Amino acid sequence: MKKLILSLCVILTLTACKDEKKNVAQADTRPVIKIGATLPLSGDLSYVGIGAQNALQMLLEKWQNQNTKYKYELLFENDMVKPQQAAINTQKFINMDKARVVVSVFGIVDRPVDEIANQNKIISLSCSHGKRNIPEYGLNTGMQNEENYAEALRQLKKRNVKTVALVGSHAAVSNVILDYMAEHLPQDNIQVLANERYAIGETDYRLSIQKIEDMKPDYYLVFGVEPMNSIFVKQYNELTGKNNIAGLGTFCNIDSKVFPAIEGVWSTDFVGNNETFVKEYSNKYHTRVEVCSANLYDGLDMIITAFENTPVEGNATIPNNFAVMKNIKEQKVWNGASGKIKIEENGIVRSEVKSRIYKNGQWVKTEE
Amino acid sequence: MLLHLLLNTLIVGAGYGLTAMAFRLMYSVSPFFNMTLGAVAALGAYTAYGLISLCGLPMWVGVIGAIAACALFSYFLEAGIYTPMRNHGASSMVLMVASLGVYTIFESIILLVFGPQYQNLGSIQSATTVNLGFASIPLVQALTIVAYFVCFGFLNYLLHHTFIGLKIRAVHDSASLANTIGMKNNQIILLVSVLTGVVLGVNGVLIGYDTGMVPTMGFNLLFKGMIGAIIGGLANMRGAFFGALFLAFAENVGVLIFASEWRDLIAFVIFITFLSLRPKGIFQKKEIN
Repeated sequence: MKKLILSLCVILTLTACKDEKKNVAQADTRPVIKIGATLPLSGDLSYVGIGAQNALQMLLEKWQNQNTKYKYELLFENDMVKPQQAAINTQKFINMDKARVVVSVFGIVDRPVDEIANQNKIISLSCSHGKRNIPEYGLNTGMQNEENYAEALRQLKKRNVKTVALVGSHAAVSNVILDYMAEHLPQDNIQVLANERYAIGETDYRLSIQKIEDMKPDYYLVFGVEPMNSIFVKQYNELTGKNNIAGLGTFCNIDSKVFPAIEGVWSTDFVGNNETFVKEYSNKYHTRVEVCSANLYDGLDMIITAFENTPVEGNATIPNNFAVMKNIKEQKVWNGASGKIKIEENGIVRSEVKSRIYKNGQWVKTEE
Repeated sequence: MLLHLLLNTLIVGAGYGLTAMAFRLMYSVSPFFNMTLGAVAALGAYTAYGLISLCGLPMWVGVIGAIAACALFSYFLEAGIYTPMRNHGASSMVLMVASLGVYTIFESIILLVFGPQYQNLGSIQSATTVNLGFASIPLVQALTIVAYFVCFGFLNYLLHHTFIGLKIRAVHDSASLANTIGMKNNQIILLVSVLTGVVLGVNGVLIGYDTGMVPTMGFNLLFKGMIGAIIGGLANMRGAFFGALFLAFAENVGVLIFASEWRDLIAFVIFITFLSLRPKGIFQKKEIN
């Protein structure tokens, strides 16, 4: 008898749940806008992909709590930073899922994504540092060299630095940033003594540091992907006992728990200039904000806002992407997770680049 | 610079060497490219991280726990996956593919449990250094070198001066002949898998303290260890010991002459050269006809 009652209860509960779902589905008649994100969700750079995934989901939850005209759905695929896989994912998003927006990170991946998306008139949101050629339907939120360089130079001048060593991961993104530094620093009377690259996944920098130390640079400027940043800083500190080392945008994701002793190390920062965003993200995911998370959050926030504000033409249920892009570019300025950002006509989104310094066990903004 | 070169060769070579010796030990009784050995080392680092940094247990508990976990994991992999497969007649290729599958599952679990971000067991504040006169090295690097020599000495003694070692060598020389004379090959393989787990556990913990960990660490670690063991020669433990040192030396010379980014290229050029010209490695075993 007990079993019978229990079975009935289970059946009734399941039926009730099923009906409830049906009612909700029937009630929500808003047109759906799908957003496909191809991100590195496994492999060496998964920390960037998962960080971006978290930020995008956080943004969508924010929008879901508002009375929006459209229902937004996020779809994720793993590309492991492989352009071929990113292209397959993009084709899938566009042809099978009918996504209206595709999102990607890293220059090596977003080129095929941009190309496919642009051919199909789909909005392509990327976070690629120093990227200049943005297609008509593209929006790049990655840090631009000019802002990063200006801030790094300001900090170097403040410290009266005359010579530097540039080091970074053997990746397209590092080359874009470090080569820009190598080209421009001598023009501002700072000599570049070394310009070294390391394979992604490399863990031994000791001999290379010894080699560079023989040239006696005043400072090291580093742009690497993790774990390079953390290990390089650690081994530099172990070998030299100094802290004349700075990051070009990526140091602020070095965990303070990992290196509590590196006082005075600074880094240009675009991880997230809005403290509210950083706090909200950290409280929600119990982890630090990663590179590109705040940038993509802002990019998608602008796109969703534009979808909501762009009028629908004719019998269409969703505004067309050309009008949405026009709406985004007309905004010019946006206050978002990465601070005050500027949107240019060519699809480049310029974030503010500030510096943070490691002081009393945490990253804080440098004094102006 | 020469002294720094030699010192760094020893530090890097010791790390490669521990994996190389574990690889060689396991390969001697179970001759296939076992990808899960990398996962075992990664388990050591992450278990120590979980026990020490997340659970707040004393360091010695974390270290012993991590090494024990590696030994157990290695045992269960062998007993639960590879031995049944081998008993069903699986070839080396099938075993290798299976190990790749296990490695991928393991990497995903690490990613899920500990997240994708870089972690480290130790901080600079707690790092004690050992002064060598011309340079100071962190204690953990000195311990890696000590562990490298101790493991080599222990494994050499075990293999050449004990009855168990004799059995291991018998299975290595001819598994079918050993089986014919009544030896229980599977038990020997299980014992070796535990020993391999211990060596990899030690290496994993040391790496966790020195260069830290990411979920993908196992593959790179295994690859360099495997290259070291092959160029040294898989015939005996000396091959793994010196092969790893040779590889580290060649890489470091390459770093000095060229640039650091070509380190892996150098390793693979040496690997291919050895496979082509001296496939049985530096210390190749003399064939008795």
